[in-house]
Amino acid sequence: MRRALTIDTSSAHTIVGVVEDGEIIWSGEIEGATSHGGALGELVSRVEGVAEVDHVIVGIGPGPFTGLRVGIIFAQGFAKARGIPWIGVVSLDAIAQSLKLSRDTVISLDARRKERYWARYDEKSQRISEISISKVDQVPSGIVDAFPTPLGLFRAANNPRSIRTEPLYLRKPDAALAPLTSIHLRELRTFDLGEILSIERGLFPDPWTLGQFKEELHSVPRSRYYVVLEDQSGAQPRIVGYAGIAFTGGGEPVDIHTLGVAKEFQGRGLGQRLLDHLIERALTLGASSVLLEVRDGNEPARALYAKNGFTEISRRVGYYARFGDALVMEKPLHSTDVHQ
Amino acid sequence: MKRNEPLVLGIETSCDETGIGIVRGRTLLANEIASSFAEHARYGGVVPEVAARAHVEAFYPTLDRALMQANVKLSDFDAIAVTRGPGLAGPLLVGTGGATGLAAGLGIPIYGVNHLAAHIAVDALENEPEPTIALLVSGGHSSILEVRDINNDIRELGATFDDAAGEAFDKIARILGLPFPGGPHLDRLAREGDREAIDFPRGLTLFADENERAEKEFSFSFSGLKSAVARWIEKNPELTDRERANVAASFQEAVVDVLTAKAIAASARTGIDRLLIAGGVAANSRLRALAGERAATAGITLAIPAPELCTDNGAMVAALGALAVEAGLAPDRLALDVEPGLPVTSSN
Ligand SMILES: [Zn+2]
Repeated sequence: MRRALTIDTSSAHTIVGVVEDGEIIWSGEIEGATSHGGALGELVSRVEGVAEVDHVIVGIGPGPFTGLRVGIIFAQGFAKARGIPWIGVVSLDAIAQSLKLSRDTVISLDARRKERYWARYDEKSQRISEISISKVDQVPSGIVDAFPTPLGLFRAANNPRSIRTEPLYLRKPDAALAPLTSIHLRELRTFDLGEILSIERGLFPDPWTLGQFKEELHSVPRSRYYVVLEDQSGAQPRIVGYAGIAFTGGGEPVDIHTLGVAKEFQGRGLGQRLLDHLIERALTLGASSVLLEVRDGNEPARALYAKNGFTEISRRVGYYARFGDALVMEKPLHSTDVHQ
Repeated sequence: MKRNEPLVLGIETSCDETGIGIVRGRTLLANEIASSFAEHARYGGVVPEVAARAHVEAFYPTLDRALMQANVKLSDFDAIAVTRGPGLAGPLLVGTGGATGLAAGLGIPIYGVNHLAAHIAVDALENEPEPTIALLVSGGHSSILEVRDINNDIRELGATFDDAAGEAFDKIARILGLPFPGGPHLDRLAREGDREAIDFPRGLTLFADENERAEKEFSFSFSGLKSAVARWIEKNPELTDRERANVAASFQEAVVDVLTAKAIAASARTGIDRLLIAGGVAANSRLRALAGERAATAGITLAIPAPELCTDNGAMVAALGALAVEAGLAPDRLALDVEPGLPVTSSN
């Protein structure tokens, strides 16, 4: 293998080159591409010396999903059409190979959302750490926002440690991790029940049925109040959490009847957000306290409630039929809570 | 099959189906599809990020299956056609990325085509498609088109003001507790119900005056119907199985009645006595039956492609590409940009 077509779409630069035996034959780049699609086609339609290319080298990240996918699928298509191999290389390694490092150096790239991808390299541009993603203020200082050159990609392809076939997304895909700003709270509608049932079934060993939910909703707004959290980042909004209370009147306790967050959205403070909202509502209703039942074995839920000032006041043995005891927890409401 | 007709590869990735089709001229050689649908079922709708990832994984395996099916080699192709819009940006970029890589490697022309025009062009594999009125109904689109020339004369007579027909099906199916995607399940349930049991509203069928008629005669609106159904269910919370089937049948009838009435009226208005129904909703059994009855009464020739050619697929893209080659249209540059909001009036 002597002549390579090199491609990288892991940064805002779309980079294309032809390299033969470590010498640049042609190189071109387009800056500021968001999708890379048009830019890649533009560069490849101008590239010279591509007829004799016998392998393709493509940067596989870390970097934004969309750009990486475009670069990789393009490289694979080109290679498949020619019947030649393609090689994926770590883009950060290719950057290190593009630079002359005189000592240990950290190279980091913007990963958006106040995070950076980074790795540490020795004076010979060999990676001596894992590739990581960290909050901006936790990344060691070093070289920032450089991008790979065709020569760097070519050199990386000659280093077995830099070769990978799977895209390096590092971060969990957006599908599972919508930004919290795209999650909105609103009142529950009958429409939502299909979605809620499927979350409910994934969460609880003894899920409510459609009939039970409908019975609850029947009493809205007289003695029930139900809300959902909706993720609006995708083409279609979808529900990721829900909660509801029952109340009788001023001075009486308010009962939390249900509270659930879809599995893949847990651990991001959404349960807390629902709970905050319900407590606020209870205060507006003039309730004396908030009561709830939680299954003994449901540790995450118990921890959430304990953190919010709920204490165990009784235990209902065998309440959840086959699934164990229910703990009754209570949080007294005082006027000072309003300002906490 | 004439040997000198162009061999065209068609690539479709605008939503959740990875479609690869191969045609030689107007002959279908392969139509392979991979769908990321099982993954979306979990979310109750198509998630662009999930779809884009699935397209990358399915792309080349699906291509290999299509090549095997058609018994051709990549080096045999004369041109590649790929959907450049309308659709979801991330998924579209995967398709055009793969298509331009292949075209650059093979050194053959590439045509970036319109997904909606492709839905119509697929009819060329079975019929002479022009001129025709086209009723395009799916989860993503609901429109009535006047097609004089598939390459450069498609006029939109009307489209939906809110939900697409397929979307309305999915939402009502959801309220009725049917699994995603709701359309086929609702169709099945509706067969057990009475379609005249509940008189749900027909959107945009009554007009205050001629101005309003001119403006909205061929347009759709399903949001009023949708909330009417939701209200009806709220008022009747304990539905029996019989009532559920009646709701499904009556809702479906309201949608299908409006779709077919407007399509037939469009044919009368334009003097085009041919109607093509395409898109995923074309698989709906009641739509097929009612359109058949009404077209026969009106003396209109009705064409509905085979179900696998109605839903999103690569064959329709290949077919449109072949028509572009046949018409001698200039190909696109390799620097092909996707256009998620591409209007139907620009066919490529
Ligand atoms: Zn479609």
